[in-house]
This record gives sequence, structure tokens and C-alpha cells, in this order.
Amino acid sequence: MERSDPGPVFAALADPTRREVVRLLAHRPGLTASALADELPVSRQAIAKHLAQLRDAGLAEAEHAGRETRYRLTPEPLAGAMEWMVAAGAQWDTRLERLKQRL
Amino acid sequence: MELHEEMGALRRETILDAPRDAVWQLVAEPGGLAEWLADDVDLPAVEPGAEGTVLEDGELRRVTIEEVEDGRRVALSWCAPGGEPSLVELTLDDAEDGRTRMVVVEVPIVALRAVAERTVHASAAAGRTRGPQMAVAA
Repeated sequence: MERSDPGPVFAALADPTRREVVRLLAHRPGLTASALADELPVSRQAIAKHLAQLRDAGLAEAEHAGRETRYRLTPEPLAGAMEWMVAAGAQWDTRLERLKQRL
Repeated sequence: MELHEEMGALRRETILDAPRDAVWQLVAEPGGLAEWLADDVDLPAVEPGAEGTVLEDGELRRVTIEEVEDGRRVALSWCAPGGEPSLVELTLDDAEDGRTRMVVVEVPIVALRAVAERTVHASAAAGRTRGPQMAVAA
């Protein structure tokens, strides 16, 4: 099975504001950039930049509804990042178990 | 779906039944690391800039020691073939009853770099010049 490169996802999620945007979109799909800016202590312009970065990482998509642009989370790329977390976590559990037995 | 604040950083904390200097022996020497970190550790020394490899489950990772704080902390970067390079930090603290708390943090370097860029921007905005706290191998 091909594993998607988690690099862009980690980069996208390294920023706390982008994590907030992801959290908001997860709970309320279809928010506009203005609605997101109302919820967060950053400008609409900054939100637009964060949304562009999330789209580049494949984590969000825009839907045009009339004059509005609504954003939705596309969480599929998170799978690669989660897979890394799970695999690396399991390796550390094994290593720390070995260390305990050695002491 | 639940995203955590520490998304992108893996963290493990464990209490080891030995004093800190005994644990440090197994962290600050290549031979000590070889007893638990991987099946084989090929490093000239555990000191900043030292480069080598670790072999684990048949997979050879390139490893570089980034920082050493005597008796307390070792930071290294490593990368599995075709994998995402990451930074690992092993920190020891005294725990109760002569035991030792070990905290492991592993972060993909791409995530760390995004944070470092933000720190640099913030410092520049404040009229200061300050590099990222931790040297990260490119």
C-alpha cells in the first residue's frame, strides 16, 4: 500500500491558528473565511492565507455558493500523518520497554 | 475527529527505576544506546555533530547528534530511508525515590521548521535577531 507523504500535513498543522481553523471546520463544515475570522483573533486576510496553505496540503477544499466561498475539511491526508504518529509511537514503546528491562 | 495541540509531535514519558546518572550512561554513550534504542548503533560518540547510523528491524537510519546537555538531555536527528526526517529529544529528570523521569519527543523536522520560521518572524517584528532555539540539520 502506498503511503502518502505526511510532510506537507505536518507543516500545515505546525501552526496553532491553522490547527484552530481545522478544528472549526471539523465541527462546522461550510464556514466562510469571514466567519472563521470572526471566531479567531486574526484578520480575514490572515485566515485566507491559512486556508490556502491548508488547501495546498490537501486538508481543505473551497465550495463556491453564489458570492460566498465556503470551506470544508478534507481529512484524508491526515491518515499519512496519523500513520507516522502510530508507527513512531509503537517504536518508542518498544525502545522504552527495552530500556526498562536493561536497567 | 479530535486534533490535539501537540499534533505532529510524538511524546512519551516514563519513570525508570534507576538514578539519573545510571540512565545517562545508557543515553550518552553509543554502546549504551545500542542496548535499547535500536538493534545496532554505529556512532563515534554522543556529542554534537557526531554522525552515524542506527539499525532497527532491518532498517538503517542516518543519525546526527544535535545537542547534548550533560546529564540531562540529548537531541538527535534521524531519517529512515524514504521517510520523513525527524528530531528526537531525550530528556532526563530526577523523579521521586531516586528514580528518573525520561521524556521522549519526536517531531518531523518539516513541522519544526514551520515553528522556527514563525519564531524568527516574530523576533524580526520585535526588532530583535534570534535564530531558532535548536539547530536543525537541513
